[in-house]
Amino acid sequence: MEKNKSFKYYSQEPDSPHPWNADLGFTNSSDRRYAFSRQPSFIQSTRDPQTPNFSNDSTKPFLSRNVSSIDIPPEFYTFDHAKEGVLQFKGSAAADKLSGLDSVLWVFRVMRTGNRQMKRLLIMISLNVAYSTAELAIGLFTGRIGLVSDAFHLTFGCGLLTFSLFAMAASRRKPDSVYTYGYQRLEVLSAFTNALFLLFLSFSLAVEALHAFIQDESEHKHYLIVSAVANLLVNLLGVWFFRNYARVNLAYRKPEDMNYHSVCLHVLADSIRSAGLILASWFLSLGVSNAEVLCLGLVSVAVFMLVMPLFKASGGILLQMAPPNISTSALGKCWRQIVSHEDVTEVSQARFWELVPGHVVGSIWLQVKKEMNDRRIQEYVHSLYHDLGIHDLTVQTDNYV
Amino acid sequence: MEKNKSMKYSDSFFDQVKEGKFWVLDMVLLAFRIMRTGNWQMKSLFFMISLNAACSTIEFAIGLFTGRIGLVSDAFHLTFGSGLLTFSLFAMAASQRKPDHVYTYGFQRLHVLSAFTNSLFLLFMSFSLTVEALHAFIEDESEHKHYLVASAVTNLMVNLIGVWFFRNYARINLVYKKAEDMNYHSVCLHVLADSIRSAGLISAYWFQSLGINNAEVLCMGLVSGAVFMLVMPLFKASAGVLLQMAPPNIPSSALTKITSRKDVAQVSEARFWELVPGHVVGSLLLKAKQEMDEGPIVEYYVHGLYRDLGIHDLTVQTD
Repeated sequence: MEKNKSFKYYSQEPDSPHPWNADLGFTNSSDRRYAFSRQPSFIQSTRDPQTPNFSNDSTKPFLSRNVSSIDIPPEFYTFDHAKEGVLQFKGSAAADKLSGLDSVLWVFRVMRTGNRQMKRLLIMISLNVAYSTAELAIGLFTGRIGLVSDAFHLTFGCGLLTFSLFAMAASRRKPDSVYTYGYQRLEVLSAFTNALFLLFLSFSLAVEALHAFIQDESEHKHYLIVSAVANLLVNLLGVWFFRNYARVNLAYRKPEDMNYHSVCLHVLADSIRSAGLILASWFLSLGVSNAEVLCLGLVSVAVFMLVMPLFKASGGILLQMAPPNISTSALGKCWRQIVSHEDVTEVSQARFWELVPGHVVGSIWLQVKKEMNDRRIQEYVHSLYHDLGIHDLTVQTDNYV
Repeated sequence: MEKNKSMKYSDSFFDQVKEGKFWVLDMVLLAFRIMRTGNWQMKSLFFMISLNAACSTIEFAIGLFTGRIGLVSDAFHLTFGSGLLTFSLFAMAASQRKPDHVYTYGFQRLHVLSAFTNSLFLLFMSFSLTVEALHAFIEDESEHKHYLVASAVTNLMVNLIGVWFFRNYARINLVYKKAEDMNYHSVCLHVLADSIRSAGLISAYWFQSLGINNAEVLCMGLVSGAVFMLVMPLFKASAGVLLQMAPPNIPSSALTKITSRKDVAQVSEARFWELVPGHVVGSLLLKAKQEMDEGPIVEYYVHGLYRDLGIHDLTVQTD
């Protein structure tokens, strides 16, 4: 089992003590209920993250996290999934392709061990698949092409939701030698992909509106209203599932937040589109001309406004932008405090970026005057950035004379 | 090593675009600047976009006047694609900005993001072409009318010009040495996929006139499969860079070489990732055995070791 393998690496180091045993006092190693607590991430969460680790223990590395082996980098940011159970993947290399049988087993695993949101998303996807299959069958039998193309569009969106689900599951993998920071960034990438798709959807709805404007005949036939109503109901169910994330501007505290937000916006945009179609047909029946143009145009603009903040936020993270929740003036203040330190001659290459929402990584190069008191300066710099919330900082000190 | 002054803004032309009320005028000025000072790729991309815009406007006007809706929707699809090419051009221009306080690593990553967006769009296009093929299979009547062949021929000509401009990047598997490589590759694949699609439409029409049934299904299916295979390597590569994947040229033997030194107790938290293709960033945590005077020698060794591997941007924290 992968868990047992990780324990072996711990015990191979003769010098370092075993903190997890001492801190938590769990002696029953075969009790699976406590399995999650034996991961280093859980230990990190019991310690106060604000105070740096000032230990005089010469065997433990100074200012380090819990794991010090090269082959298994620590997962210092995965607090949340520890509570939700262990999701184990076969194999350790990054380029594992899941075969057909594996994906079926994986689906069962998701149903069993996934968190609430993943299960809800799986329900949504299954509902969508069932509905689109039914629509395709009905369309083929009755020979109505509108139903068939609607079914295909539904499958399209379904595929994107499946990718989000895959990202939720795959991002729990432990970091390895290829993905040294882990797989959590998949959630950000999936959120960005969802946002892009919604932008494409908004543009194509605008094109549809212009199409309806030029061609005065309505494209959407009557039987499509039934499918629009059913689609609306399914998507409203999805919005209800993800109602915590039904906001336009959201503060992203954990990496999953972005992914859940993107899923919520996806189902919200789909429901707005179905509602727009229903409204358009109602207005048309009332005799309002150009109803379809107006409704589709409104829907297109609404989806665009809805998705822009998520697109910008996820794009910013992917572009290695400094975290937006830490003001640049605070970073500048830290910079000035370091520069004004008596032992520091020069500060360069201060880089800050967000790996995922809630996990900021930084690196900074210092030139110090004296050879000693390296640790004092490092402590100082680390504590300065700790206060801002940047815990993962690498400080390089050069002692040039 | 960069000094503190690296944080200053530079005088690149994009910085002078103010985000005020007159942004339209600024965009026009930016367009002129691109034509004047951009490199040849930017200039040829700008030329391509203008050509596409002109074609789609003409097609739109003809479609409106003659009342042929097929031309109008084809014009819209063309505009869609050139919008994406405009985003690539914008990425080329904006990524030349110097790093600032918010984007501490600079803007080069825009190239990678634009390549990813382009490849995602091409994947979407491939899926929608499959849907079109299935549509044509179910509905035995051809969706594409005769007059659309003329527009397909012009489209093919324009896109072949684009492929000729970017012919250096007309490969499926490309070695990305600089950041811009990915962006140029994505633009080339975009025009290549568009030309394949137009060629598929033309050959479908020809086969149908020869009397072959399901010609459109076959051609659209082939085009969809071809575009998918074309775009997959770029998609995987750009997604890998965005997911902080470590480049493959970092052997673990480097780490064992460092730990085998006598004065190094252990190495931990080794992180390597590619900011853009060709620029690898790394960080390491070193714990030395002795307390005094371990710093400079070990650090020189570590930095030299990784510099030989091609990693210049390494931050080493010694405890």
